Amino acid sequence: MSKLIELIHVYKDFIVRTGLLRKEHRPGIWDVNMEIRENEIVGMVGGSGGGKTVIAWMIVGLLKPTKGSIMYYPMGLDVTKMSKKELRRYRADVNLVFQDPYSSLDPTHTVKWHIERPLKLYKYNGDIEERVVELLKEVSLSPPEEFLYKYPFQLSGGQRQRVYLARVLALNPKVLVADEPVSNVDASIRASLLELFKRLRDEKGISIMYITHDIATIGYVADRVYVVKQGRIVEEGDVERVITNPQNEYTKLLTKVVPNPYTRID
Amino acid sequence: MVIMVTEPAISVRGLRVGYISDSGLTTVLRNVTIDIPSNKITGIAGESGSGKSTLASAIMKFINPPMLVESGSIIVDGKYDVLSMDNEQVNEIRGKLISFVPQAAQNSLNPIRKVKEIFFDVLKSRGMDYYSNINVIYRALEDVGFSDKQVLDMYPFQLSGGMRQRVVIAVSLILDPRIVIMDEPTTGLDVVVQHEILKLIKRLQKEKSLSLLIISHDIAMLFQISDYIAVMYGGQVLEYGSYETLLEDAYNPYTYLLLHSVPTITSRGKKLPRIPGDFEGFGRYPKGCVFSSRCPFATDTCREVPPEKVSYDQYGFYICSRYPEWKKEVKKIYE
Repeated sequence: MSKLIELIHVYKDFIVRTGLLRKEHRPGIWDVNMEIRENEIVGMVGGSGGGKTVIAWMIVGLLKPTKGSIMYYPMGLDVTKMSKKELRRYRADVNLVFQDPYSSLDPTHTVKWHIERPLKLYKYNGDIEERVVELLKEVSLSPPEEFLYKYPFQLSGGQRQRVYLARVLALNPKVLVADEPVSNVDASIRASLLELFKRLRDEKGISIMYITHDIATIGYVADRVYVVKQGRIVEEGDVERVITNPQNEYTKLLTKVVPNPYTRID
Repeated sequence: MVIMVTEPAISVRGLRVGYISDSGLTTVLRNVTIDIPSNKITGIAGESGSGKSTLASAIMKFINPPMLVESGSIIVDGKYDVLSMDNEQVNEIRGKLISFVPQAAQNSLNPIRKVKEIFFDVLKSRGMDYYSNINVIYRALEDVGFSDKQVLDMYPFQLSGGMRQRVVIAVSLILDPRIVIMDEPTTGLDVVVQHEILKLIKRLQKEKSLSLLIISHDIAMLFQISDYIAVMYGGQVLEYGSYETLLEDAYNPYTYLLLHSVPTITSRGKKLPRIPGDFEGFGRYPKGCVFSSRCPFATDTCREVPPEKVSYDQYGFYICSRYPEWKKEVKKIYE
């Protein structure tokens, strides 16, 4: 499988004010090497404050790393050095899905408006209405006609997340970076959303970086995994191997503390 | 297992609670009848909009418009009929007999007051002095795992999420209540910290023989610590019983589906059942069984006739008119 995105020795410092005039550089992300390959779901797991979101934001170009490069091979360019115009093209290919489906949609606009917008912005030259219906079907919001003129407040969390996914899929992306996409969604909807991710990989060949604190869902959905702790990758590899035979202490801890209805806490 | 007949800590009878809105009264809790056992952890599992927090507010009598109790009774500790008491009387038992940790309490600590001032306020509201009770506070802090007293002089923003949650638990236990209700005690915490807090809750419950009611949407977490579990959906308790019963031999299909649709570390390669559709909301409440529109085993009768409640021991009960037939069709949901 060929690589789509590769992070090469990426560092990110944060500036912390320690006094009135004094500032200090604190390392946030430390020497991260990571790749997203074609047609795979790659997981990134770790506790809060570990830097998962920072890595995600650097991949989509919302944050610039202090050092290192992020290569995007289909365009043959370094994301950190892209011009505005190139970034615009890059963002049609690589998209971010947010954690909170309640704040990623504009409450004053309809479902149709949300999905139309990227199509209009990127000058889609087919029938926009048809495409919107098609996209709603793709994310299993059926019948699509019923959802077109609904507002976000009329939808459940799972439905909103699907609407957002439809919007993201409008531009036929190659990579989705999904930052905790199911954490704020009810348990009964979670399984079907994870199923949808698998379907996007298998049917549309989209690569997904799935970021979560829950190693159990990683085990269910991902092919490969990176375990992140305090800005560093402490373990990586095939999900099967990492889950059944974790090498790093932190990975072992994560597999132990993950909520599992079949293990009691006494 | 020997089942001892004991006085329940909380006894809810035929509770109907609604909210007043522009379109009239929307009933949320429909005829909730449930006994919460003493000295046990009872989990209330339910998705958003299932009425679990409404139930907790009703038990604490935090009833303010637009919330309205239509009918029913709540007996706490065998003698306090909460709903017929006035606010002053309820205030007497709040904190002392029954204590409440609301959702995201750890993020609601006053940012400009030190931890000790929080204790100060709580004690003052009961007419108790901070300094003469300092040993009580020290013990409470020790109970939740703070070995040094420095935390008293810190502001909430100096504490991590897990430490704040420990402070909140210490505050809720300061007056030595026997019953504690916790609404989503672990949301927003890191997985590793969550595990520690759960261990702490379990230890405190055992040491102090607390009757604990934990409300959460995280069904996996609830099954890890609860002795009894109630599964709520659309304002009704669909099933209630010991965790072993629900885990191994659920009576209601919703319990089964919810439990089995949670990916676990060992579910790789397995197919998880899917629960189709979404809860239709309280506005278009179904005529028959509340879960019938999403239940893969539902028949026409389920959709038309509300199922009867079946009790099988002092606490346990279920509502489902298709038990045990649905168990034979369980393969269907994996297709």
